[in-house]
Amino acid sequence: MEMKNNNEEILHINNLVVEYSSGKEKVHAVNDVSFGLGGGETLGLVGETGAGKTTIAKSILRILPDMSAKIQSGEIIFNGENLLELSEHQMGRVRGNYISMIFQDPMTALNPIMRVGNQIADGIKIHQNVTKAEARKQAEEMLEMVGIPRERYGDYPHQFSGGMKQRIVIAIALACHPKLLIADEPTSALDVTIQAQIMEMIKKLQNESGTAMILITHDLGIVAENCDRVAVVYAGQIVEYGTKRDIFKRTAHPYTMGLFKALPNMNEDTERLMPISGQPVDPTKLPQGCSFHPRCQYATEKCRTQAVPLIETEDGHLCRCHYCRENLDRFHH
Amino acid sequence: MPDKNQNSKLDQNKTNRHWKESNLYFTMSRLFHNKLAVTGMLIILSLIILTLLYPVICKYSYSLVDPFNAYQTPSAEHIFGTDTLGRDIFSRIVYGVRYSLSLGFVAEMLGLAIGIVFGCIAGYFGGMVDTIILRICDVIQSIPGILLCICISQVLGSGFFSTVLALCFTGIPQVVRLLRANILSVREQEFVEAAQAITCGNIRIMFKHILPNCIAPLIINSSNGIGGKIMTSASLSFLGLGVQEPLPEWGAMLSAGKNYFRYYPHLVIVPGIFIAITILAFNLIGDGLRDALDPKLRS
Amino acid sequence: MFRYILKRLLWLIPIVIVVAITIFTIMFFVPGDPTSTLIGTSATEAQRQELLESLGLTDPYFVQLGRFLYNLFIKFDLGNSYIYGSSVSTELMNRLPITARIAVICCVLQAAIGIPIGVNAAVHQNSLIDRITIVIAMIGQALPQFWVGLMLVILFSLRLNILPSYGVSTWQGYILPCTAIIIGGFANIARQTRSQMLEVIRSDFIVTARAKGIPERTIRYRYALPNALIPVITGIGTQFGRALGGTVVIETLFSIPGVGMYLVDAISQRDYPVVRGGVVVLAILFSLIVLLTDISYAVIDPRIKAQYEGKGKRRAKKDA
Repeated sequence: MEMKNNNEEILHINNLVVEYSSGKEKVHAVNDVSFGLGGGETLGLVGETGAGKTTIAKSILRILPDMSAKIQSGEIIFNGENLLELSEHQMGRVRGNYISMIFQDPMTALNPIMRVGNQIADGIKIHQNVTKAEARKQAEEMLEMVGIPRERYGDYPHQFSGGMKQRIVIAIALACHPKLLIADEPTSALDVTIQAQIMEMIKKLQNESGTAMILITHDLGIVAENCDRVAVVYAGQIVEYGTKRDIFKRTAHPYTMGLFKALPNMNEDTERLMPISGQPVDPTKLPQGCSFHPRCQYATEKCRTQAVPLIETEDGHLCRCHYCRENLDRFHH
Repeated sequence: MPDKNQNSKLDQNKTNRHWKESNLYFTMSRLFHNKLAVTGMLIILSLIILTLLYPVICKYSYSLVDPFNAYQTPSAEHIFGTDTLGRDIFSRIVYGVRYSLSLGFVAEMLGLAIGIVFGCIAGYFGGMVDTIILRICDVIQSIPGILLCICISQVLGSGFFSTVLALCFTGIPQVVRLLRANILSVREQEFVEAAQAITCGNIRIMFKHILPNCIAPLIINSSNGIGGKIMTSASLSFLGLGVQEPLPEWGAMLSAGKNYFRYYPHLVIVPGIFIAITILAFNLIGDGLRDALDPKLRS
Repeated sequence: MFRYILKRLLWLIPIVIVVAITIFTIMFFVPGDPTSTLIGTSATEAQRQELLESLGLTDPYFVQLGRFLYNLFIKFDLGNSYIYGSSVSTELMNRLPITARIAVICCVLQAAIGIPIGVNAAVHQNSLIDRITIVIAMIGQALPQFWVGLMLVILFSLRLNILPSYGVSTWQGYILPCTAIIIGGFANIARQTRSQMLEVIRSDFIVTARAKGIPERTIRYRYALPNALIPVITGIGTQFGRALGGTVVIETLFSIPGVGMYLVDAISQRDYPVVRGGVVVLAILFSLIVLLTDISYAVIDPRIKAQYEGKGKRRAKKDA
């Protein structure tokens, strides 16, 4: 399937399949995911916990736990190279240098017994082949850039608050000015008051350096503010993909619609929210047909039996629903 | 009345389901899937069966003295040979299982029981009581364990139960500290606050809510502790203290043979191997329990 | 940090006093007395009484206890051995180096062997080498020290005749006793290191380090290992204590003239001053080692250091 991008694409994922094996059970975490990302662009990956968003992100960096997870098939093309074919050594030069990642929980993402400055300088030293003193200088600059005074270079993680730690994690991620930044729920472990601050800072630094970003979140508000494109993920599949406008104004998939209905809306006088009924699918036993059908109020016999391909509803707007065109009328009369 | 009946039936169903979902069921199923732990349990089980079958499988009494056949090396007649007095070592080993196992087990359980009492007191009352109990633990732990055992067993004499007492002492501080630390951390958790919020009594909170959540590390500690106790008791016997001849306890057998080991090594090799196997079995079970009870692995 | 150490050292004083009282009390209730060793069983009851009186052993409990504590803590005098007549402190000073040497050798070698083996096993989790390590470690931990000692003597002294079976007059004499202690100890440390490494290697910060592009080797040794070692250090400390205590049995087995054998002989001969003095000195040593382990924690782990230094400072910094 074709996904169009205005800018030159720096990342393109083709038919990615990732499985976890725990004991005898196989967990189908990512099933045939494809998308592309242009330089400087921001793509939002939206979905419930356990939908496979983080697995997609970690597959790109190839930092899935190698004991249990396995990338079954697919391609991850970055700068014209398939990352899945690189040697571990070559991959090491990509990680942190061209692609880097911000993690969800800043409380555990930092080495507790290493000075924070050194944790930033470490990556710089490895990738830029500079002296210790130079790496330190750059790391201090990074600290200032994320709003932490450079005197705190020698402090340990336990001396910082959660928001400050996340700033350090961001500094580590941006230390080598990567071309692609993967932010995995960068604000969900933080206080609400700090969330906006951190998000704003990420956005600012991203714009300054022209970095492309994959923003993983379940917060549609953050998506609306920060993303150019959005991919909605359900049960390891992209169920809807399009520009922010496509997703928000021309919603075509019942699951995406459900996500919006579950949000409080300040403009309308809604009496009660509409939660999506049922539980997320068990990824060890994916249902036949459309994986969303057990929770879908519009499900028909066709949905229960026939798997759904991604259908191009409108130009560049993809949707994995047999009735996506009908849905457009149904949702946006 | 019929109402009540129905209720109890419902309860029964509920219990059944609860059992399937209970921690104990979960732990047990994990434990029985752990090959090493199962090996350990099989070893202990076969040792127990062996000693129960003693009258059937042993041709010679464990106490039958036969000076003309002393110091025999292993043969078809005496598969482990005979000892200094011509007693059949195999019979003594088989009969001695009960002493060695129960020595380790009883000493550990006694230490555990005493430790739980003091651990609860320390964790529950806190403050001065806590400090005093901890300092006493410090004192006991700062004397090398085996020396303390030696001194105590000198006071108590060399019988089976005096050895049990001497052994149980050194394990107590460990239990107290473990339990106390766990009580302190569990006490801070929200479900305890929740229990207080619905005005549960203090005693009830302690025994119904706090203690069950502190048991796991104690179980692991004890399982490894039994092996340790067997080892210490063997060391005591070796030094000529603790359980002594003519009881067919393995450590005592080893001790009796140690003066002749230069010429008749089987006198020390055989009991030593059995001691090692038993300790190994308890350690395997302990490891299995730790893996099974480790909440971090539960996902 | 300094204040913390000082505080701990001060705490040592009451603990040592209670240890002294405890060991005195235990030995007071031990049946028998040193006379049988001193003058033999053929002596008359009157001779025995006279001897006991001259040793001060007929005095009431509290008088004896007071005298002992006064000598120990005011005059720093451990007294003289009933049996040998020599000063206990001199004797301990002569014997302590031998015991300490064994304990230190064992400790260093245990760590030097156990830690790399544990790390290696953890890195290759579930591989053949990992399984072999686990099995060897489990068996090593289950073997009683003295029994290993006996087996080593049978093999290397009696059969092969290449190493001495007793004494430490030459350096070869140390090989068998140390090996006997190390086999159990290294197994313990290897297992602890392995399980700690496995736990640490799953932590989030290791993933962060990977995402930074740090090479796997560096991650293992510079990121994971120091974190994994924190609990292992306790293990090493305990092992050192155990080695000190374990020498009691090993020294007896190999006839090594260290503190352990001195004490065991003294206990059976009811040589009270030696027992009390030896136990008190060992207790002090043991407590100092525990303190040393706690300090080395702080060196590795800044969080623990902050705890030692008091929470006030930490809070202040966090708020800043």
